[in-house]
Amino acid sequence: MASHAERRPLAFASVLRAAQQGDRDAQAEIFRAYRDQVARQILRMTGEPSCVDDLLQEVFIAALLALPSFRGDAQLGTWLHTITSNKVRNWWESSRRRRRREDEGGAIALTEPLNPEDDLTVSRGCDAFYDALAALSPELRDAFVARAVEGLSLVEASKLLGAPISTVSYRTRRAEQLLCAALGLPWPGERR
Amino acid sequence: MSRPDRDDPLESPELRRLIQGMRARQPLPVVKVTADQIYARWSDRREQRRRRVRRALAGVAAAAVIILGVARAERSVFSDSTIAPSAPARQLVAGADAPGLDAHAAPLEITPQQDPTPPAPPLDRDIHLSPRGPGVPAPEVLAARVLRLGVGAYLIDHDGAPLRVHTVDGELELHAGVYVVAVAADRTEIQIERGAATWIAGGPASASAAARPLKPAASPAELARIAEAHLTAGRREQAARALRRLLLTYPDAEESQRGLLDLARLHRTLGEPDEARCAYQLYLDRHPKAPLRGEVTAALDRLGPGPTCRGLRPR
Repeated sequence: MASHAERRPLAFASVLRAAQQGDRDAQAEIFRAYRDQVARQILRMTGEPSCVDDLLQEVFIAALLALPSFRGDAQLGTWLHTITSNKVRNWWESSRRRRRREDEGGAIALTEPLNPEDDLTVSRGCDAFYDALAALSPELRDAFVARAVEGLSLVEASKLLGAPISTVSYRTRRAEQLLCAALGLPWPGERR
Repeated sequence: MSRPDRDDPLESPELRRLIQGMRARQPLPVVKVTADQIYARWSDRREQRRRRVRRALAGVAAAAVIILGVARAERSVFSDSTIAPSAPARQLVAGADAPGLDAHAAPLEITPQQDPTPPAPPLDRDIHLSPRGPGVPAPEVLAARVLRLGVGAYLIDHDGAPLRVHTVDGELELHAGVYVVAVAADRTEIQIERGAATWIAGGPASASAAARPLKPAASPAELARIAEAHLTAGRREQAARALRRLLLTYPDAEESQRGLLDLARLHRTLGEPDEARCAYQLYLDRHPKAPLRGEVTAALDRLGPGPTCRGLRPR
């Protein structure tokens, strides 16, 4: 998660200080340094390119408002990751989104085998996957997204979600089970 | 079944392949937002936030007066003590259990003085006096219960013998209670949260102005409506304050019976079990034959043991 900015800690520390004091150029530099990282995270978590801009704005505005209280206990990238995760969580919970998903009839089972080399299959699988993800409870979805989509370790996910490691682990597995069922994928336990 | 990575959370190879394929093929999102847009919206939000803070700060002083007043009123209500007007007074200025201070006369133009007051004998310990606002000079203490106020506004709260206060208009006697005394260059105004004030020497040129009654006490129904409105808007702290005012001002009103339960629930919601317990306890004490007695007792049991209560306050 280390960004270009964080590879130059000394220079960046002064930029950060200036941004904390409301310096416009410094804030712009931070935005440019982390824009792509945050945008990618949003897209990975939502699968919805059309919402990236809105959420990106929300994330950076929230971050800049809270920046004066950022004490550097974590790297700025990690801090932004947490803010982004929270914003995306709110986005999932928004009624507009939920209604739209419900109107679309929920998850669609995959009818053909998944082939990562095949763009079309992956694209359809992607839609079905995010539909199925939207149908999960927030707790299961958060755990699954953190672990399987974002690739966080159990410890990182536990810290991010404020839940014990064992709970995160259980929720991830349960979410996977439900996703497999919704997507028509065989669950390993059933094959044994 | 082997898993490719020790920390890989996925057991389903198909799902893993799908997510990996999505990651690999997910394009870099096209970001249209610019740093300038972020800056503009951040500036707006920051300004909104500052406005909110300014409004909140402006309300803090008034809230402090109300809270102090409520605490004092509570003490007097639940200890059955009464406020006894003292000695003969030349001119009774006002006296009330007024719940609010906001409907008072036009604001005074106050020019804070900068000159410090010399060291003085200590005030009696029951007297709590604080200048309101920056630049208001500390009062001059002439004796244990005698003060001289400079130009500015002062919150005065005491519960002992009458306090004598010298102002530009003359000498004022404040009986046990809570007051805001605002002294301008040419006149003095008194807001009485609780108690009674008397001019014992001098007095304002326009007696009628100084004797203008404060905002009349809101009726129980009004206070209940105010609390309800705060509750509906999710302003729990304000709702709790309105309910406390209702309960203290009109302990026997019909609205107060329901108000006690509302207050108990509010305290529970606010994570204040001791206060909730006191509200429930007071309900049982005040309304021993209430039909909801069983439910209230059950709620008390659920809250478990806690400190004893003095009225609505845990000791």
